[in-house]
Amino acid sequence: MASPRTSFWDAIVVGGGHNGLVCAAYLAKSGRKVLVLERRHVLGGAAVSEEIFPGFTYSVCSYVVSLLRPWIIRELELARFGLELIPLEASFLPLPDGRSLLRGSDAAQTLEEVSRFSRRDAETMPEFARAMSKIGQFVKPIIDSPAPDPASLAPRELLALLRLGRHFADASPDEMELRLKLLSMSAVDFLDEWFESDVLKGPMSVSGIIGTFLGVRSPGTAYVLLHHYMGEIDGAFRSWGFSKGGTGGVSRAIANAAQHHGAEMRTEAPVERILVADGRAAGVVLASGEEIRARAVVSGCDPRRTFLSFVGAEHLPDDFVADIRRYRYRGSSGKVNLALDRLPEFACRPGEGPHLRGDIAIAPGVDYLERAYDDAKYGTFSRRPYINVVIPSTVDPSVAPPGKHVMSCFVQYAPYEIAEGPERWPEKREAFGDAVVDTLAEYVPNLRESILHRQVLSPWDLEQEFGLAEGNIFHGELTLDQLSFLRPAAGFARYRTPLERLWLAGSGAHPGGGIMGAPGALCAKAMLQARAV
Amino acid sequence: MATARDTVLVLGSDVEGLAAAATLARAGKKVVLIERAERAGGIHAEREFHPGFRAGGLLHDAGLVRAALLAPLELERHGLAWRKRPVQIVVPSEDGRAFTLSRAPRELTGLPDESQAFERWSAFVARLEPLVQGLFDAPPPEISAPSPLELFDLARRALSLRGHGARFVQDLLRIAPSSAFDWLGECFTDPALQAALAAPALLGTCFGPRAPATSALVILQHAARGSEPEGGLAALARALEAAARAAGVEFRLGRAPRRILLDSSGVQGVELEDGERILAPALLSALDPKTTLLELLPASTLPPSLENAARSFRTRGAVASLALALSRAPEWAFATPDGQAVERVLTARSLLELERASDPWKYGEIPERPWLDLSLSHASPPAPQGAATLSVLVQGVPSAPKGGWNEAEREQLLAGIFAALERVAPGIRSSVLAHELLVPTDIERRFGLSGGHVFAGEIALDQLLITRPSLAFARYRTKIPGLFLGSAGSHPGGPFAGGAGILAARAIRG
Repeated sequence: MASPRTSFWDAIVVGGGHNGLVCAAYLAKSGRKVLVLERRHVLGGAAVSEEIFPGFTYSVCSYVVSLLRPWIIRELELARFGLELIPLEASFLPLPDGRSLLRGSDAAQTLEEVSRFSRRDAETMPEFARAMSKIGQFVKPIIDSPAPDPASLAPRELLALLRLGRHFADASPDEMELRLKLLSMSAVDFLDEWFESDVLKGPMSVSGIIGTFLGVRSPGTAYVLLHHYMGEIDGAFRSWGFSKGGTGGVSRAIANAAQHHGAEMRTEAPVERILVADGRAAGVVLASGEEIRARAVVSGCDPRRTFLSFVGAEHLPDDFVADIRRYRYRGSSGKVNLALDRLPEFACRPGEGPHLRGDIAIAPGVDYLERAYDDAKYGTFSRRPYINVVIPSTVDPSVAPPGKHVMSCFVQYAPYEIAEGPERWPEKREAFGDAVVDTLAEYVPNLRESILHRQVLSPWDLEQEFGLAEGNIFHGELTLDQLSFLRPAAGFARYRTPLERLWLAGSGAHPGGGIMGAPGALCAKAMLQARAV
Repeated sequence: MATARDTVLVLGSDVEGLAAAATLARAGKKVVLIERAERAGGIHAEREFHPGFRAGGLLHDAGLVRAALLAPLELERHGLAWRKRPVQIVVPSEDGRAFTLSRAPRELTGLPDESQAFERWSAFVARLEPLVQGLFDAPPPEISAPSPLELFDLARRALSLRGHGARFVQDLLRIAPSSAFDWLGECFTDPALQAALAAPALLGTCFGPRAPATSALVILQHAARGSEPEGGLAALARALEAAARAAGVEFRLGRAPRRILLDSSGVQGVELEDGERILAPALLSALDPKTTLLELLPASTLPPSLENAARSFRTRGAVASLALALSRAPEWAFATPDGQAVERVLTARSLLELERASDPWKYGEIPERPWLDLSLSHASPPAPQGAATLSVLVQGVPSAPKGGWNEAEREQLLAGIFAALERVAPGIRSSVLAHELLVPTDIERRFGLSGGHVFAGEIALDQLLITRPSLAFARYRTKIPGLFLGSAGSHPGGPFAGGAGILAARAIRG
C-alpha cells in the first residue's frame, strides 16, 4: 500500500462510532476509498464491548439495540457480517413492597400481570399500544429522511414543508389531537390520560427521559416516549434486543461490512485537527503529526469536538460558532457494569425466569422518578436513582463464564455539572456507584456479596474516555429546540457544515441519538448525491 | 318565562362572561346572565374582605387584556380609563436596591449593566407582537380544515416573520420550545432580571423555568401585552357590567345553575338550584369547561370521546391568594431607582429560586420558600388613616396537598409567605389587621372554578390556542347545538382576559 502521505482518500471518517462506521460502509459500498480513524484501541464509540474484567464482556456504554434502522441492516447486509440480535423477552418492574410487574410479548400474560394493579389499565393497554404504533408510523418517515428547512424560501423547501404539513394534518381530529399532545405534553400528563396506576406510569414514563436532562413531568417528554416505542427488530415493532457479543457486536458488523467494501480502519489513531486549506477541509492531522489528505472529511464526533476542537472557531462563521457553543449537552446519565459470580435473585420474584432475560427497571412510581430529577437539577446525582438493568448473559453465554453473569446498569440521574464542578466527578465516582448498588441491593439482597468486579462510568468518564461531550449519550440533548432542522444548528441540519468538504455524520445530526445509524447513512447519501466524494 | 328565539343565556359573570353578555346584547340578542354570587365579577370582582379593606379581584396583571376585542363595547363610556403610565414591577435585591420593569412599553430601570441586553431582547419580542396579538385577538387557527381565508392569513403572518430574515425565524424556532432557564440565561446575566421576566409566565402553570417551552410562554406574556385599565381587572369588570346593563342584559345574581337543559335538538335552557327554569335555545358558559361539560350537563350526554376530552383538560390549581389588611403601608427594605411609588413587587431573585419553588407542588407539598407577586393599594374609610391593602399571589400551591387544606397546612403556607414578605417589608407581620387566605380549594368553592384554577384551566402549550380546552371543543363550540364555551378555559383565555367571552359571543352572533 502506498504511504499515507501520498495516497489520496475520497473520504476520511473521524471517529469510529457506529454512525461514522455506517457512513464509511455506505461510501465504500459506492466504490469510494474510505479511511476511518479511531482514537481508542477499539472501534464502536459508545457502542462497544470490552473485556474490562477477565472472562466478562461488558457492553460498556450502550447496552440495548432497537432503533437501528431496518433499511440500514438490510442495505448493508449486517446479518451477513455478524449482526445477531436477540430480542428482550420482557420488561420487569420490581417494587419495594414485594410486588412486581412483568410485561412482555405474551399479551394475555401481560394483561394478567397488569390487572393485579389495575383492571382498567390492563384493558387500556392494547388500545394504547395501537395508538402509539400508529403515531410511530407517522413519525418514521420523518426520522428516515433529512430534516426540512422552514427558514428557507426556496420552492423545493416550501414544497417539502407543505408535504410535511399535509402529512401531519392528514389525520382524523382524534389523531391530530394525539399528535399535538405528544409533541407538547409531559410523559406523565400524557400517560395520566390513559392510565390510572402509578406502578404502570413509572416505567412507561421513564422512557421519555432517557438520555435527557428532563423529568417525567417535563413538557416535551411525551414525544421522546414515542421515540423509544419505535424500536423494530426482526420486523416486530417496538421491541428492544441484545446484540450477541455485546453492543460492540453491532459496531463490529458495520465495520466488517465497511471493510468488505474496501474501507480501511485505523485504531489508536487520534485526530488532533482537521486540515483546512483554501477555506476547505482537506484532510486531518493526527496527534502524531501525520497528515492525511482526502477529498472530503466526515466527522462522527459530537459538534463541539468537531467544530471547536478539530476545526477551530476561526474557520467558521460567527453565527454558526455561537449556535454550536450554545448547543446543549447536559449529560445526565452514568453506567455501572457488574461482573457477578451468580445469577441475581430478586426478592419479589425469586429464581430464574423471563423477568431476568429482558430489561429491569428500578422506577417505583412517578414521584420517585421526579425526585431523582430534582436532585440532578441542583447539582448532585440522584440519591435514589432510576436504574435500567439488563443481564445479557442470561441469553448470550458468550459474555460471561458459565454460571456467572454480567449486570449492565444504566443510571439516571448523574448530572455532568455537579455542584463541585464536573472535573471533581472522579472523587464522587465510587459514592455514585455505591448509591446504585445500594438501591439495587434493596431488590436483590445478596447482590453485594456476588459482585466480582464493578466498573463505574460517570458523565465525566464518558466524556474523557469516549469523547461524548459532557457525557451526553446522544451527542446533544434531544429536546425540540435541538431536533430536526435545528440539529446541530439552523441552516446546517443536513450533514453539510459551513466548512466546505466537511460533513457531520454523528448523533449530533438529524435524527439524533440512539443506535440508529440514520445520521451516518443519510450523511453518506447526501454526500454521494452532492458528488462530494 | 317565554322563550324568545334570540335569547342567549350566559353563565358566569367574570370578565369573559360580562364581555360575552354585553357583546350579545349589543348585537340585539336578549341576554340573561346567571351568576351564583350576589355581585357580578366572578374572580375579577372587587371584594371587601375586612371592613374598609377591598381587594380588587384575585389577579394582579391586567396588561394582557384584549383591548382590540373589547373596543367595540366602548367601555370608556362606562367609566373605563386606560393607564397612561405603565405599571412598574419592582424587583428588590438583597442589598436594598431594586430595579423596575415595565412591560408595555418594555423598560428596565435601575440595572444599567443589562440595558443593552434588554434592548436586544425587547427588540426580538417586539417583532413577534403582530403575530401574537393577531393570534390572541382572533379565534384559534383551524388546523384540521382551515378555510382558504384563514390559510392565507396564517401564511401571511408566517411570511411576515420571514421578512425579519432567515436568522430570526431560525432563532424563533429554536427559542420557542426551549426553557426560560436556558433562553433567559443566555440573554442576561442578572439573576433577578431573569426571574422577573420568567415569573409572570409561570403563574397558573405547573412548571418551573427549566421546563421546555416556558420560553414560548414568556414570549406570549410579553408580546401579547398592551395598556392596562386604570384600576385593573376589577375596574374592567365594573365597566363591563355597566355596559352590559346599558345594553339590556338581565342579571340574575345570587342564582347558581344546577343543570343545562337539553333535548335531542340541543340546548333548551338552564335549571337553577332553586328549581326555576329559564328557557333559551343558546347558552354561553363562562364557567370553566370541566364544570360546564361534566357537572352541568346531564350524565351521559356527551359521547365517550368528548367526555374524555373534557376530563383530560387539566385544571389543577396552583395559585393561592392572600389579602392583607394593613394598619400602615409596608416599610420596604429597598428603594426604587427613581423613587417612584411602589404598586407591584416581585420577590423572586433567581431562576434557581423559581425552580425550587416549583418542586413541592408536584408532590402535593406546601412550598416553604414561595416567591410572591405583590399588589399594593390604599384602603378607604372606615379603614384607619394610612392603612393599606396588600394582595399577594403565590404560585406553586398544590390544589390537594397530602393532608388536605386544614389549619395546619394553611399555617404552614402562611409561614412561608410571611417569611418571604418580611425579607422585602420588614415588620409587616405586626401591621396586619386581618387576612384572607384563599387556597385552590377555597377558590374552587367560592368561584366555582374546577380545581380552583384561577385561569379556568392550566396554562401549558398543549392547552393553548386550538387545544384550549380541547380540539374537540375548538372555537367555542361543543357539538351540542346551542352550547358554547366562552370562559378563560377557551382561547385565548388564561391571563389574556376579555378575549374568549367575546369570541364565543361572536360565534353565536355570527
